[in-house]
Amino acid sequence: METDNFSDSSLHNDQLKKYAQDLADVYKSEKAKRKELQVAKEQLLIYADDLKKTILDLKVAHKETQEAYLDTIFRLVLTAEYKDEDTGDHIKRMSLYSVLIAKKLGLSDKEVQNILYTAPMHDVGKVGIPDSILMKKGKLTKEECDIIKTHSTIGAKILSNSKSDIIKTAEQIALTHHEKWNGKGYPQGLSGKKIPLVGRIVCLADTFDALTSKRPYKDPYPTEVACEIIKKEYGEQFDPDVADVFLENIDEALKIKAKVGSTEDVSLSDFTKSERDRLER
Amino acid sequence: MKKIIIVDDDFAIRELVDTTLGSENYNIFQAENGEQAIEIAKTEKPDLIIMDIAMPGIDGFEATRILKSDPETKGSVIIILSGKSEDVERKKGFEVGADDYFTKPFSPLALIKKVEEMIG
Repeated sequence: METDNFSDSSLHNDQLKKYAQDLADVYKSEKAKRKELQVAKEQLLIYADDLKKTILDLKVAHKETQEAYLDTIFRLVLTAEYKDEDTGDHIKRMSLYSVLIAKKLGLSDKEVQNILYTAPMHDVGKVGIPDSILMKKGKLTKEECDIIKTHSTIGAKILSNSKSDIIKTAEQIALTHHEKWNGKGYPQGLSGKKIPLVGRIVCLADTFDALTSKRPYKDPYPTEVACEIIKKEYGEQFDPDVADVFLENIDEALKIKAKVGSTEDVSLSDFTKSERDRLER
Repeated sequence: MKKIIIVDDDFAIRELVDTTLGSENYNIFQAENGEQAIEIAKTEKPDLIIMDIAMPGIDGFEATRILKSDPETKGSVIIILSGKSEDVERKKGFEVGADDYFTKPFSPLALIKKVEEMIG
């Protein structure tokens, strides 16, 4: 029994009020917290949205940069090629042949893409070769031939000491695309798998397009003759695996050839192999 | 789990305090007078006792004095929860050895906070 000045029921009433008051306080503070959380959540959503937009913008910018980079490479390469040809078709075709071979050899997407970007640069060293030799029609002297051969080391030098993996691959291609499987190529006389695979691939792609294109010193060879030369050079100039893959997929190569520029159709009968081809190849 | 004894002759208040502190947080015992409180305190050695003053038989002051002078039970923290708010009463509570003094009606949030502060 309580003996103070509160009766049980008035104490209980007052106590109930205290509980109600605390409950109201808790409710109010919870509501305020919920509102704060809601505001924070909305703020986060705005940030997330901005982030998404930024990433999309970056992706677009990255793609544009990459396209500009490829375009720049192509135009720079064209300056070296401009003396022999002014359309850049040779570069386009030989790059696509290289990509075809790389794909069929089972290289990764990244490696295939690298080849697409770097194969065009294989002949940049030509900028160091005098026009009188580069554009000479007819037979080259032994000295002139030796000077032309320096384009591989000149190209490698131009592309040397880069931090970029792409340029490193380009350097490898420029240096080794005239090496031969049998070790009789230049500049280092490397043989077999000592020649980087990219060099072996570009060697075949470059040769096939040179054979089937018109040059100042020769008419284009028909595909049959070009294939015959490749077969003859199987295991000599060319890596047998690379040659196999290319000849197996010659139809696809011809599709590329048809799509990029066009060479006049010549029949087997009315062409003669040029002197220079006999010396060079 | 910390042990608490709620001592009050008013069943409604005991239940209210019990629910407020929560059996999921504490191991709670109830006593309806001083004698019962001393008896439970001796066996359970509680961490905290919430003690009403005006009870039949041994009242809260007396029970607190007994518990605080017994070496077996003086370790328990005692909070007096009284309907009397006069300074004289408060002073007496501390004199008999109580650790804190709350008046009824009490704020449940303040009580929860105080208990956590004392034995949390």
